Amino acid sequence: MSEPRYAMVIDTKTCVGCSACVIGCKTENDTPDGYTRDWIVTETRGTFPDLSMTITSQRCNHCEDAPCVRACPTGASHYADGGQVKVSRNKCTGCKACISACPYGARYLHPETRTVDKCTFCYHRIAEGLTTTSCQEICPTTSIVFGDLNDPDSEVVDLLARRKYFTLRPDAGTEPQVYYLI
Amino acid sequence: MLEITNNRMNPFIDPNIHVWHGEVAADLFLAAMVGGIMAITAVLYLWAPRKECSRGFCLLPWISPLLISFCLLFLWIDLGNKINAFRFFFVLKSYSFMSWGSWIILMTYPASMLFAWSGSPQDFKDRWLKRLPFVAGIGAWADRHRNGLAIWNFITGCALGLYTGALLAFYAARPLWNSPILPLLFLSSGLACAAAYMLLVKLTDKERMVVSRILVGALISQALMNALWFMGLETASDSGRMALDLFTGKQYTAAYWSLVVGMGLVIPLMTAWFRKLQSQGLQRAVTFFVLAGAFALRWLIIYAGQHADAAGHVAGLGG
Repeated sequence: MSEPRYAMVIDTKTCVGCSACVIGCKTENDTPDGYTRDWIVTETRGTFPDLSMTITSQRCNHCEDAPCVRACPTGASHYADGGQVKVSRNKCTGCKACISACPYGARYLHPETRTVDKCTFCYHRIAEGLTTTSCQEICPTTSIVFGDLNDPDSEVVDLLARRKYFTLRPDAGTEPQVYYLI
Repeated sequence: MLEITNNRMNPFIDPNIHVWHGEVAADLFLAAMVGGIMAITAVLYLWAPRKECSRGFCLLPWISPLLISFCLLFLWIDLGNKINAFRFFFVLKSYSFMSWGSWIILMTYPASMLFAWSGSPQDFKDRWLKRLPFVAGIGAWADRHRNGLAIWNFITGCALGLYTGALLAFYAARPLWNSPILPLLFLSSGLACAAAYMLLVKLTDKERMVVSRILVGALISQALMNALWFMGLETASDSGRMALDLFTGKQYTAAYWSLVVGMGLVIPLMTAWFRKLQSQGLQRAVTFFVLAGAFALRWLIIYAGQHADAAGHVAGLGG
């Protein structure tokens, strides 16, 4: 069996922007006050009465060609076995090159550890054998699905085959691994 | 109508990233100036290797290791996790310009110190050999290989000057910085700073004339690179034009045109062009203007570059 390639699929048709994923992540990962690893963006387009609204739950896109990994001078930012982009705290100097390189603004300097912090796709949960991230677990509308793109039986593969989707800032050429269903 | 609301308010990230401050500007300014000093002193030696130089000119390269130490100090102050600073020198990451920069800065020490030693007056060497007799061997080696050291200095100096711009130029996420002209702009500015600084040293009239010509050349090159950089942004994508707006009508416009262009380029260029650099007071004023303008250039580019983060695209759906 091939190496896993983890990705996240988020259904913008069912997401209501309740921020449960944000709270779930903060609780699970104990992120400091005022900081968050995921967030909600609401976009309203059109002219009244022809308005449309799209809600997206955003986070690190765990890009296949991540500019943050390329920019990191010490190798602290790296790809984990499942393709997740991770930061090794013991190697991070807090130089902030990766923060400047990220087109999504997904990274921040942790005020206590003074190292860079971001979404890990709940790496610690997956390493323990769980199959869901905390944001997925808590989502009341089951809009968030996490899975392995290299597993033909996984739900993420099925959803991406059946539904139309987009990724954030495809112009950046980073091959993001968070997909939004439309 | 397009209305975007974002509930993320991470400090120093939202609404614009603001993670690099004056320390980075000071680091880039000093590194480019050291690069300029190394390159100019090396070229002038290679141009006329047997020519006697004034004491001030011979001792000039010693300023490089001192300034580069301050440069490293600013870099260290900027780090979030200072205890891990040594990690920069554990690996060379080929795709990371910051990694390349760390190693280039480290290379500056032996290159500049050995070259400075080989060109120092004999009485200066004798005095230091009495205090540090163990440097006699390496000093004699440097004396024998002055040509090679000059070439090494020139390459390292240019690499250092180019690196200061390249560090910013390869961030595709920051449209203001993302230009291949930026390394050349910073190198030109570094050469101008070095030449302006040299005017403060006690030089012979002929040396002063040569340095003045280098200053004029470097300032013209800087003006040209600045124009090319602006043209590149104007003819690039929407985000490039939005970034350029910061210097052509929005919040950084007055500071950029008065400090960088007016004080740092036009006034020194006019003064040097019309050969008004005979008076010591004017020389000092020109040096101050060039150095202050060069620092302002980096300061404003650092701040404006973080402000121009392809605004609207981060939150915008589908790019």
